[in-house]
Amino acid sequence: MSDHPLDRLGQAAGDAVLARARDLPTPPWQATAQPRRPVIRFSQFAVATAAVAAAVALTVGVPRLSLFTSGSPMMGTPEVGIDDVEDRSADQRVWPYCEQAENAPEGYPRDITQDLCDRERERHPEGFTEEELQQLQREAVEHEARLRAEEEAREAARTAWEPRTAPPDAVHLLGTEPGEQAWYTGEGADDAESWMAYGLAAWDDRLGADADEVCAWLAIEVAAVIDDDEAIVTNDPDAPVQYAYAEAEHQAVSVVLSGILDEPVGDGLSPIVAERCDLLG
Amino acid sequence: VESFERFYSAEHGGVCGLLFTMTGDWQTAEDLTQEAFARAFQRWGRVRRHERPEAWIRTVAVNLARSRFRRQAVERRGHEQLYPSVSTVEPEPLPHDIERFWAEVRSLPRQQALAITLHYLEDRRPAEMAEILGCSSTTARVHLHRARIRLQEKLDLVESKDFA
Repeated sequence: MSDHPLDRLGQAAGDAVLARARDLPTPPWQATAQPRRPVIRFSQFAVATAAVAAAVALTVGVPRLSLFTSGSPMMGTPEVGIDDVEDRSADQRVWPYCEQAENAPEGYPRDITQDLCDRERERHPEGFTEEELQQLQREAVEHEARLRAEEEAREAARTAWEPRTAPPDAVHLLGTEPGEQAWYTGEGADDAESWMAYGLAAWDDRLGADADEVCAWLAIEVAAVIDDDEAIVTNDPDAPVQYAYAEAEHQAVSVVLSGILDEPVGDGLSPIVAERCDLLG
Repeated sequence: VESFERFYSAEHGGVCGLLFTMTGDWQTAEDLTQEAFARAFQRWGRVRRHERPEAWIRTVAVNLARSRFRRQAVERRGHEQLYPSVSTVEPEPLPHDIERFWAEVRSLPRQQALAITLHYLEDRRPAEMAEILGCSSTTARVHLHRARIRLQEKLDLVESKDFA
């Protein structure tokens, strides 16, 4: 490092912070001490919703609930069981969607869960017992596996979305700096692909009820990005694109966006996306 | 688990320091550090096989810092219960010139801020920065160069000929 004043100050600043950070008590790692049922955070809420939604989808009659059941790049693997949602006695009858609607954290698409709750109560006024929910969940897991297999097969047939090549007009969300890459490399690696597959399938349905859910979901994510980073959507062919999209949250969203559109998105949000999903509203 | 604990002990301070420089708040830095390591723990089977797990954890940490405004309200409630604060006393503020330096760093475009942070905080080389920033080594070098130029202006430091 040079003797430039900036380097001297920077070096001192770095040393000071590092020394302070290392002086802080390092909490012992106690992964096993974490509560089995932690407070429902946004992501956990969604995962819990995924499990419950998967369970109830078969009986509520929602045409396709893959938005929830297939997980999403931002939400981790839907491994949370129904009994992770809330303690309940064996014979207590509940309405899982309604529970989720009541517990929906700020910013979650409450209207969606409330709508599902209404449908749930209408179709199942008697509610569900724990045992019934467990059985539904097992069926839902099987159902999900079948859906996923179908969607993977469909995706495989879409050569345009071969993940190992980056189309020159690839769509991706960028930060404030032109050329900046999607950045969420640590999250969602397991589910991005299946979520993208769902996006494609939803578009196949030409914006039926499920696509509305996709749009609402995307709207939340994209709006959040915009609020945070003033993100834009670009098709800058010179922007570095890594199509290992399973590694990147934003890219996964972008792939879904471009996937459901089946076209590149130019400067600003696509008019189609904006129109269909009201992303800019 | 042992290997993770070693990793945790070795990297905790650096990650926490990095997050402080990004957030300007030790409490937030500590919370995000815990979250980052929690994610590493969940994926430790894969993370440990990375060529540089320490780069992975920093990338995750940086991402978490960037995301913190997005879900701040909800996340804060979760963090408070999931990871009770271990620091009950806010550390003494850093010397004024040091605080000012990091404040100016935080006002830079974020990739530049991160590049300069990695440079001064941990003496990372461009190739290592590139891995954390998710860009090429050349791009990382450009970010660092621009950051230094802008910082020099902001801090009103005299430019010398050999500065680059």
